[in-house]
Order: sequence, then structure tokens, then C-alpha cells
Amino acid sequence: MATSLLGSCTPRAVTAQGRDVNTLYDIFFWIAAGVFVITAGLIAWSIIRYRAKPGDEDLPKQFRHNLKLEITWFAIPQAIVIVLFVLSALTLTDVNERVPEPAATVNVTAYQWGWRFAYEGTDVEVVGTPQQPAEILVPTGNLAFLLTSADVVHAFYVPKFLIKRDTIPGRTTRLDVAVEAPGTFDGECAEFCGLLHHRMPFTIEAVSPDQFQSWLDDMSAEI
Amino acid sequence: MAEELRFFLRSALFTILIGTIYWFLSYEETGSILLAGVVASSAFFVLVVGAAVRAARSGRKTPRSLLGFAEGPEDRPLILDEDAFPSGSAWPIVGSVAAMLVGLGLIYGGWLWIPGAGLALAGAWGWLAEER
Amino acid sequence: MATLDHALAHTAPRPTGVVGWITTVDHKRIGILYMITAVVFFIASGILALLMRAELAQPGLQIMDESTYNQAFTIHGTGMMLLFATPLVAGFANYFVPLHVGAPDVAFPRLNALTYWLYALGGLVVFSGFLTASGAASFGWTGYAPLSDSTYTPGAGVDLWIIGLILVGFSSILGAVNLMATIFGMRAPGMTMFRLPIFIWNMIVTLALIMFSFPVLTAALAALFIDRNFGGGFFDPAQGGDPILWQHLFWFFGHPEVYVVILPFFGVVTEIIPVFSRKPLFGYRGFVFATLLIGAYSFTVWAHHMFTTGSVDNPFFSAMTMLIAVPTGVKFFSWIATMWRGKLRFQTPMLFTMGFLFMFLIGGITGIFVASPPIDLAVHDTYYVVAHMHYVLFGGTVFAMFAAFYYWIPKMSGRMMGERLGKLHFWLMLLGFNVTFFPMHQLGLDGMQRRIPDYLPERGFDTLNALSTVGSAIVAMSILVFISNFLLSMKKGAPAGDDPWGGNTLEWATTSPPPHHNFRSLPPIVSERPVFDARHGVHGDG
Repeated sequence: MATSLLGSCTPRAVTAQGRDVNTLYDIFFWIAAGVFVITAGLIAWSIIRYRAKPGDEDLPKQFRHNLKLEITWFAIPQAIVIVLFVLSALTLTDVNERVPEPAATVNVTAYQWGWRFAYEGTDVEVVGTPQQPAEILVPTGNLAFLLTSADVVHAFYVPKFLIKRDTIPGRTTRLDVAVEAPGTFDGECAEFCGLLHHRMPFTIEAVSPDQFQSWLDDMSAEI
Repeated sequence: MAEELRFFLRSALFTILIGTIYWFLSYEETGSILLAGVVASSAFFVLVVGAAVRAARSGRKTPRSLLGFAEGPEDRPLILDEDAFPSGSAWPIVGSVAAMLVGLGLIYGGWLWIPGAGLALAGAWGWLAEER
Repeated sequence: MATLDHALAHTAPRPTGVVGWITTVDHKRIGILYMITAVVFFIASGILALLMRAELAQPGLQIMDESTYNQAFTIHGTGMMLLFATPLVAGFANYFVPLHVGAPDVAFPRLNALTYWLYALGGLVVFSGFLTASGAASFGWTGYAPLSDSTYTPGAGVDLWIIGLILVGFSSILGAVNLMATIFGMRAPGMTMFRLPIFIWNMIVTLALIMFSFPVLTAALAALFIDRNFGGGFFDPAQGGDPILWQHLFWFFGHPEVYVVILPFFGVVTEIIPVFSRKPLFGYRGFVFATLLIGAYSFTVWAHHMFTTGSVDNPFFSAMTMLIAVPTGVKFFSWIATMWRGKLRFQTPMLFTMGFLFMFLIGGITGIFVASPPIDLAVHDTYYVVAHMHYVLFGGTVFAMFAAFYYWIPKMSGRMMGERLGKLHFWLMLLGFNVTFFPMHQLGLDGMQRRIPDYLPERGFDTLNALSTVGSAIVAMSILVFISNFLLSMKKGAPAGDDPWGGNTLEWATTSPPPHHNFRSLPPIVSERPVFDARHGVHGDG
């Protein structure tokens, strides 16, 4: 519980990019906690300290302005958001950066209601349906997902990657990650896409490059 | 300059500034055109409100809606011309039913436009014929 | 309603009864019609929300199928935003803008009646979608293309949704022009722009946002209707259209719309806090400046709803969005400084205002999180965003709405609301609201996406969802307490008198309820709180 709170309750990411987002979220969380404690504290103090005493009908002092104070409470939040923006922009560059020499490039097509994964440079294709969700293997290391849609807008979302990207008909979007360790990760569709939107889960299993290569060879042989 | 005018003028100038920055950062057309639309609308209101303020200041006869631009002297009496306001009217609801029928006609067939147009004409006629 | 009706009917020789209400052009009656209709849509959309919470209490489909669930959240969103919150603003504005500026009515009374009826009929048209064979619209209140196209969501329910919203859109635009003309052209002598009550300044910015943003929605809906029925292809990639175009148009309206439903309530709490602290607002001009800045920024942030599309300038929209936090912070500090060294009284309006301050603070802070693109890419379209927007819209708008009701119903009806039931209502709602929405932050971080009727049991979402459903039932109970309080108070409430709270603004200078055309005489207006000045013999801007 304590570690979860220290870590601001976000699930720990399994990608290099996701860990950057974890760090950013934690910074935001602690700055936000400070802002909340100060502001809510001032409100609570006013409520407790300045409650009218029964029977006291005198007017309190009617002060209205204090230019220095007003400039201060404009300037400090302005400075905080500039810091937060710069941190966000830096992290965004990391998150959006294309990975060098991806170990696998996967062409992902979303449709109502499932996913088609095709591995670039091979004939291997995995298709999922609401009854039989897709389970795919990827190698650990750098991955590129090229995303598009066959019908409406969907979104490719792997919670453990801490990122999602829309799949848009007529366009190709791209998502690059570096998976750091083997593991199995749930994925889902995040953009509402019609009747069975909630039944588009998929599973990504990250394995060592050798295991991945042999799985890929097996799949090719089956075709 | 009247504060009412400054309001729309600032809106136009701010959106010109941001719109220009946005265009050169993104070269994205839809948003840039929409921001230009905000500039144009603000500029339009600068003209309309400007004309009303000038009319009010020159003391010329102004439309009822501009009874009291608060720019006048503070001891000016409250103008309460009871006759300037209608006491009730059935035509607004007639007009809105007409609008609904015309809209529903687009879904369920043009025959709904016959009562729709009839009510719209009746509503417009009745509305304009009312005295105040 | 009997008492309200009776109280208002004696004021002038006008048609009475149902005919009187249907043909009324009196801004106060139209305001009441707006508020009652908006609350009816609030309850209807709220019932849809309770049904959704019941469905989500445990994994699996228990009480409805997917299609019904999809219709429920679509009409819940549409109803709450466009048939409840926005018309509620119109209701308060109708009743209190003429009173606040010292005018006998709005500039165009018949047009005012027209806007009400366009809205009421438009809302019915939207909800009538449930009666069609294929059901109501089922693609979310955002109506993303191409899902909203006739290929993927056929049926008359969607067309009814479009036509209904176009009627509501026209209503909002015409109403905004009317109220703007009232504020600019019909102010009482001495009421200069910088002596306007802060509620009016917030309304001015709100009305400008409506005038500049609703035409975009109305045009986009018309384009969608053409796509669906006449093969337009505006948003269809197969015909050379662009789904992203819809998102731009929708959010260019949709983000200012969020401020349309919150700025007037900033205005409400900014009227209530000085009255219940017995001090003037701290930093009036700074507050006006902050309001103008929020309005201006609100047109430059629309695509922060589109970070995940990968086709908008994320840093630009992130920067503009974060900047909005600064004037919002200025408002918070103004409110605190107004209470500072005051003599605070905590009757129900002030209680709800305090609830608003804390809840909106949480919603505002999570707003900074989702303004950061890397964080938004993680939590967008999850329950984190659902939590955020409900802290802003429910914790903000709805809490402030109840503050306004407890503050102003005595003026509108001539009777005080019950304090005991009011306090019960407040504490129940505060508890229920937080139990409902706070757990959603964690659900979102854990990856529960929005707009799903069901989730897999192994994902571990069930405990927090069950908790959230319990909270929604508490909220529903608190609303029932409010309704009973209202009905009881209208029958047996203590007489309010002209000025029960020791108010600042001109509505407290006339009777409760005010007579036809509002004022027999006005106090001299030398500051933004003329009634306070008259009571305490103060002169000048102070």
C-alpha cells in the first residue's frame, strides 16, 4: 500500500517509454499533492478560523485589493505549469521517438470487433475475434506497431505499456516501444467502436528473440 | 472606448495572435479556419456593438433593446416603459413546433413540411402582427 | 409547483394557468420553465447513469444487453451536457440576468420564449429515439465518425438525435444573442461594466463562447445528417472524407462547451461567497481578467481531446491547456481571500459552495495530468478521464447548481428551503459523489476503458466497480432528499422576505418573487453590490 502510494498508484510499465511516463506521472503526482494540500488547507483554515460567532453582527473589515498578492498568485501557478509543460514535452519526445532497428514490425488492423496482426517481412498473420481473441508473440526489445483500421476508429491500448494510439480508417499511425523483459500483457480497444467494443481483448506475450524466431518459423510453415 | 467594444476587440486580437502561431506550428487547415472564424465573428460584433454604442451616445432614437447603455449620466431615471414589452404570445411555441416538424420531415418524409410550413407562416405572420 | 404558480400569477393581469405558462414571454417564468425542464432531463439522464452503474457492479451482463448500454451512455452524455447543463445555464441566466442588471425583462421577450420551446421540443426529439425500432443513438455523445455514419449505426434514432440537437443548437445561439443584448443594452443607470455583478461577467464570457462555438456544432451535425441520408461523404474516408475532420469540429465546439457549463457556476459561487462572508469579492478586476482569459484560452485547446489520434500538434494544445490552470487558480485564490478574515455563515448555499471548492479543486488538478500528452496517452478513454470530468462537471457544475438553488429558490418562490434537509442532502451527496467517482481514478490507471458494459473478472476491476455502484445509489438518495425538501418547502417553507441572506445584488432589492417587470425603484448603483451599499450607507467603489 505504502509503495503503491509512493508510486502514485500507477501500474509500473514494462517498456522503456512507459517507465518515462511513470517518472513523469510521479513528478506530477507529488507537485499536485503539494498544490492540493496548500489550496485545500487554505480553504479549510478559512472555514474553521473565520466562522462567524453567533450574535456577532459587526461587519468584518472590507478589504478588496492587493496588487502584489494578486500578481504573486498569478505568477507562481504560471511558473509551475511552465515546468510541468517542459517536463511533458521532453517525455513526449521520448515516447514518440521511433525506435532504431525494431526487432519486429507488426502491422495491426483493427476491425469490428477484433484485431489482425501481420508481421512485416513474413506471411505470418494472427486474427482475433470476440470468441477467440488474438494472442501474439513478440520479441523483447524494440518493437514498431503500424496501426490502421478497416472500418471505424478504434484505439490500440496496452495498459502495461502506459500508452495507446488510435487506429483510424484511411490513415496509418505508429506506436514504438522497447519491451524490457519477457511477460504477458493484456491489450484492449480504448476508443468506443460499436456494439462489441468491450470484446476486443488481445494478448501480447514478449519472449526472447530466439523463441520468437522459432515461433515465427512454425507459423510460416503452417501456411 | 466602451468596454463592450473592447471585449470583442480583444477576442479578435487574441485569436489572431494564437491562430497565427497555430498555423505556423501545425499547418493544420481545419483548426486554422475555425480560429479565423472566431476572429471574423468577433470583428462582426465589434462593428455591431460599435454602431449601437455610437447611436446611444449621440442620443439618436435607439431600438428598444438599447434603452439604457449605462454610459449615460448616473442620475438618469430608470426607464420603465411597460408598453414596450409584450405581455404574452402564442407565436413562439407555434414557431418552434413548425421548426420541429420541418426537421422531422427530413427523417420521416416531406409530407411533414406541409403542416410545418403552414405553422411557420402562421407563426411569422402572427409574431410580426403583434403590436409591441 | 402550485405555490410558485400562485406567487407569480398575482403579479400582473396576464393569462393564468397552463395557457399562461405556454404563452408567457416573462423572463422569470421562462427561466423557471428552463430550470424545471433541465432538472427533468437531469433526472432522466441520471436514471440512465444509475442503470449503467448497476450493470457495472459486477462482471458479466445482468440487466441489459450491449446495445441498450450503448444507448444509455450516449443519451446520458448528450442529456447531461446539452439538455441539462447548458439549458440550466440558460434558466439561471434568464431569471437573474435582467434582475442583476436592473432591467425589466430581456431585450427580445418573444425570441426568449421561442428559444425555450426549441430546446424543450429538441430534447424530446433526442429522447424519442428510444421509441424507434433500432433504439436511440449509440455511439457516445461525441458522435465520432465514421461510427456515427449510416453504414455502422443505421436507424432513425440517430437522425432524431441529430435533428433534436440542431434544434437545441439554434435555441442556444438565439438565446445567447438575446441575453448579450440585454446585458449590453439594458443596464440600469449607473451600472457600468465594472460595476456588473461577477455572475454577469461570467455570463458575458459564456454567451460569447456559445455564440462562437454552437454554430460549429450545428454545422457539423448538419454535415453528419447529409452524410447519413444524402451520401455527403464529409467524414467518410472511402469517399475522400476525413474522420478527423469530425473530431476537430466536434471538439472546437466541445471544449468551449465545457466552459459554457462551468463559468456561470463560477459566477454563482462568486456571488455566494461574498454574501456569506459579509465581505466584498477580493480582486474584482483580477477576477474579471481571469474570466476573460479562460474564455479566450478555451478556444485554443480543443485538440487535447485528440492527443491519441497522432494527427494534432500535441505540444501546442498541451501548453494552451495547462495555461488555463493559471486563471482558474487566480479564481481559487480570490475566493479564499474573500473568505479570509470574513465572518462566514454556513447555511446550505455556502455548504454546497464549499463542496464545490474542494471537488472542483480535485477535478482541476487531474485536469493538469490529462493535459500532459504522455500521461494522457496512458489514461485517455479510461475511467481516469471519466473520474476527472465528473469531478469537474458533477463536483463543479452540479454542486454549484444546488448552491444556486438553495440561494435563489427563496427569491423565485418567496419561501425558504428547509435547512435540515438541505444539510442532509449536502452531506449525502458529498459522500455518494466521492464514493462513486474517486475509485474511478484507480480503475483508469489500471486500464479499465470507458464505455464498456462488461469487463473480464480476471482483471480485478470488480471491487472498485461495486463500490462505485454503491456510491451512485447514495447520490440518488440525496437527490430524493432534495426533491422532498423542495416540495415540502414550497408548501410550508418560512416566508423568505425580500432579502433573506443579506445579499449584494439587485435581485434582493425587490420582492420575492419579483413583480412583473421586476422593480418599482432601484437603489443608486455605485459599486458591484448596490444592495449592500444601500443597507450600510456606503458610497463609491470603496
